[in-house]
Amino acid sequence: MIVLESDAVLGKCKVRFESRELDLFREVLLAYPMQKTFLQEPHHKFRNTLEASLRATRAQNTDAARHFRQAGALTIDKDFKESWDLALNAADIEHLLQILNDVRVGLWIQLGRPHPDQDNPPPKTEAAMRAQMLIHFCGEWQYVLIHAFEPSGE
Amino acid sequence: MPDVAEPLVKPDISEKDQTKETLDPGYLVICWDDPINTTHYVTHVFQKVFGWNRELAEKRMLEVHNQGKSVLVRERAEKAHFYVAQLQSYSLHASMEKDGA
Repeated sequence: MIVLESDAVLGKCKVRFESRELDLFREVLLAYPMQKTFLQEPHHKFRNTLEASLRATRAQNTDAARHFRQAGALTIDKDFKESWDLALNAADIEHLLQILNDVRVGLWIQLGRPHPDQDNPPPKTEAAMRAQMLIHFCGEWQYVLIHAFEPSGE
Repeated sequence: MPDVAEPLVKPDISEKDQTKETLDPGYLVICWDDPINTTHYVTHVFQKVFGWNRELAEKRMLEVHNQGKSVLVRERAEKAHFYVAQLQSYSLHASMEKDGA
């Protein structure tokens, strides 16, 4: 993913995916939501309201994920190379960051929560390697989105 | 990045639920370290949720990273709960504790 154009004043930007990257992006959108439980057990007095808040957020993000799968435009350059352009506003970016991180953390939990400083590497299976690749791409996309409105070179 | 409408969900706490305890500004919002969330991401979330500038957000992010956790704010229960819900919606490890408990 690269930022094609952005307007910090209007809070709008356009990002471009290469065609192979787009397949991975859609796979991530389809996987959302992955996390069904709390990362940290909430204070018992507020468990119900916290659950309700997170349910509402997940519903909004699920709608956003559906929108992102259907939005965007195919572009073909002079060398017949296909890419896919997606217009986003600042609110879209926040939805997308939450979606990407839910899947990123969810995959990490599925892998057994591997820690770089501890001796618990993920299994060396095809599924685990694909999960690690998706974790990597989600992190890369997050970085691009977080910095979408910054002048290039920062 | 400009401030625009964000995907925030306010906690459903009615006035009758606002007991003396929920109004007591004595709840700590804590963010815990983990090996999966990136420094850029955590900094961004702190800026969005608390409205901090990047310098302060990075300082708190580094506290989480280096010390294993950071007490981000001390608030009354309702507000603390709201912040925890926000942080968890971004998949950060966040919890709230009664101050001095």
